[in-house]
Amino acid sequence: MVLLKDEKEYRGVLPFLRKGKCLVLLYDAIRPLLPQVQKPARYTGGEVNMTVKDPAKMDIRFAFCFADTYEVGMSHLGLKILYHVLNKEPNVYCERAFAPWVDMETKMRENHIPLYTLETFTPLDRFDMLGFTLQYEMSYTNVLNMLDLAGIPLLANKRGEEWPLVVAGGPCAFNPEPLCDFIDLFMVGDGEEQIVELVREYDAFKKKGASREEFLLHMAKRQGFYIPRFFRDSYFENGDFKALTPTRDDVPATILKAFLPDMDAADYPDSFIVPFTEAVFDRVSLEIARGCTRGCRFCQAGMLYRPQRERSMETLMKQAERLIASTGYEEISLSALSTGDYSCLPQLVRGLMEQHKKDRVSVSLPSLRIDSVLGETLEETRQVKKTSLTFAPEAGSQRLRDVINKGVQEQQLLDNVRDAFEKGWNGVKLYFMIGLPTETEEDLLGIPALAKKVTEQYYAVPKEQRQKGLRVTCSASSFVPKPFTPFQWEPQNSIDQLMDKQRFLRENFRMRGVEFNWHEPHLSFLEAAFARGDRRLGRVLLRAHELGCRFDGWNDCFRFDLWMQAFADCDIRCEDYAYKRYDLDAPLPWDHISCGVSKEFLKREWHKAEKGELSPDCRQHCHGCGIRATFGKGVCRTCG
Amino acid sequence: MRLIAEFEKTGRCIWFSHLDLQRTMQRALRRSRAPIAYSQGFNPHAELAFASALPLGCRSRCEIMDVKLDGEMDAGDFLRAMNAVLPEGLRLSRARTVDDRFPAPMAKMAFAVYEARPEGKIEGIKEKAEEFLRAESFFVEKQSKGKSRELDIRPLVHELQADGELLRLRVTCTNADNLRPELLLSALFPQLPFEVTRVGLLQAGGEPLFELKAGEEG
Repeated sequence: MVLLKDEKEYRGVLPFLRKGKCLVLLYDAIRPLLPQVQKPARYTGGEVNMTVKDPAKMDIRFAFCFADTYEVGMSHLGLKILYHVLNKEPNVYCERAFAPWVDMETKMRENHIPLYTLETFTPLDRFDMLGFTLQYEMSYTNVLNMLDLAGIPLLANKRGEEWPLVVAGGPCAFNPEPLCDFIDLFMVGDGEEQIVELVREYDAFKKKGASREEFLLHMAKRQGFYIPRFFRDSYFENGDFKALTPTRDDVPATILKAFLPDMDAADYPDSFIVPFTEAVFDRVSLEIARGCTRGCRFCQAGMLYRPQRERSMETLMKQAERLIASTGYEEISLSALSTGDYSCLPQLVRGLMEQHKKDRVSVSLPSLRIDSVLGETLEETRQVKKTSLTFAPEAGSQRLRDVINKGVQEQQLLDNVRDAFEKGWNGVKLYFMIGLPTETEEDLLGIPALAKKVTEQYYAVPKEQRQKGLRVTCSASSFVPKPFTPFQWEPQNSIDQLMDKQRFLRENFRMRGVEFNWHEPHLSFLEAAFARGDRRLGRVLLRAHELGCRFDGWNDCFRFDLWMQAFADCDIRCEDYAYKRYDLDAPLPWDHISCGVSKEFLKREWHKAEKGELSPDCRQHCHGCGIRATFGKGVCRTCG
Repeated sequence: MRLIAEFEKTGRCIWFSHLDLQRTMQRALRRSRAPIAYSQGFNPHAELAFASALPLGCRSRCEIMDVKLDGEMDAGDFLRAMNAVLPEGLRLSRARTVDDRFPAPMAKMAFAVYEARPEGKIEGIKEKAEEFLRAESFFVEKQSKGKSRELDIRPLVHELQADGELLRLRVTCTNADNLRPELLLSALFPQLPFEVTRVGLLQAGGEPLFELKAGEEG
């Protein structure tokens, strides 16, 4: 038996794990493995601002599970917010678990080490509740793999009361059907109050000695909670989805998302965990707004998070001050779906600069829309640190931009870019999407043409005035039809079509100073199937997991062949999901979930797209999306 | 002025790299509110140097850092301010203020002393150590940049002493030559994991790198 030599190495209570006949501390079991894996600090926790509690004194132990690597998960704002609100509960300890990278996974399986939390090295099966955040369809196999690594039965109906309750939330919970076999409860909507409601209710039921079934039934009646076991799916004879109906009279047939009306009243962390090893985004992020008023027709987030809600400048300044003091970060980034639309962006940026100037803290603005009020703001972000400029025209031609309701004019973009080059920027990133509904060759040619015009703006700036070394990066992702968007009924381009388009673009992209990137179309194909999937895909997912699929979003791990085998083994065609054109009146597998936006509105938008008609920003004109009808008067800043 | 401080790296903190240590210290310095001097340029950072990079997975009770201040600060105050904001596993033990002309500790580095404790039963530790010291050369395979090459590590080892089950090593540790103790240990005792602690950083004459003058904070 190996014992810790220095008990002071830890705070908190250490769990034990049975290995052979003797008990070994879990940390001691992984210690010999750590020198053999890449970046071992991903597996040992103990970072600055990690919450430390005595697990023995807790009523509820909650493991927040992120179905990707530590570096990705630790960059995620939702994790930071939910970790904070849960740990504010005095009787709850929220800990973290991430998907171990393949080298560590192999070592863990070889040595029979279950997946554990970083805070206390506790195996996941010891927790009351596991909470997965679903950010991306192609992380679903990681959800299954993490349960498997923890030795927890994957299927919800195989888990009795002795196993943790497995819950999930995040954007993919708006169409959770492909995961219904595995998850006990979904949380739909804004999470920070909902998750506290969940643990408090759970605590009350646990203390009453009530059964899990009773608890789930109770939750099924509350706003924003979807319990798949109380619903049954049915299909037409031709295999099309027919309906999802409650199996009990007392379970509401529609689940309305949880909604947070006031961002200033919402809880936000005073401190973030500061990873030792670098995360993808390693900085203070301020969530300046949730939701977006633009109504781009491909964008799911723009619909799911309606209405747009801003945090006040006063609140943000206070949050920034506390976070910089508690983390020591050297950068603040402003986070929102459309940062440039924040009503007092220049004042906010100036205020933050002023407040943190002496500490050499820089402010960066990601996801800038191309028609945002830049001018002054541009000048100021450069004052302390140069940050990259990103524009998302999404489509190459004005016609197609109108179809997708990206109400952006080329000249505006070029003026902004010119302005940036004059002020000393030399790097611009441009994001495009290919395979959008109605796309033609002409629209595609617009992409390199726009890139070329951007480079011309650079060369038009006198040599002595511009920064050397122009770098224009163009990325083309593939359109994926997503639920709750006006394009939810649209088919995806076939893999062959997408590959042809990529080849076509590559040939037209040979110019100096411009780099062209594209996404793996096979991955987008699967993403489309799972984004619009129904319950039948659960079998495919399970089969893909059995075949060894995981980290599908990572190029070096993605195994399209295994995925196709999984579909074939289940006698299901991926094409039937990804390439399907739904009838506007057909029932959809996510009809039982409501994000507050009406289907009628989405249909109206679909018709407008067909005609290439714009729907201007809803701050200018209310299009009656249904949010006000759902959540009542006063929820939307624009339409009241 | 500058501050030279000695610190420990233990517990969970042994699992992050030297690069991570630099980042972690930078941020701790910011949190401590010490009057640090920032570098010029687009990415301003504290002017911070370490005497020697510690191998990943190795503990230490004698790491040395050297940080430039933009203003006055008492060494004791610095110690307390930093220890209040450092994570469990990093702790400053001593600090002293020096003026800007004081030579960088890194420049005086000559030897590092390690203690290695085997994690399991070990036979003939003393004999193996003596045998190694008697040899004129001792070649091991070293992986660097994807290539494997033979390296004579005997000239880099100046002391190898068995004290019961504990091995004590004094090895070359300069900018040019640096022997990771793991390289020696895995060659002498394959398959046996050791818990390795760096216990001393020494100058060429054998005197400790970190010296305190009378009246300074310790």
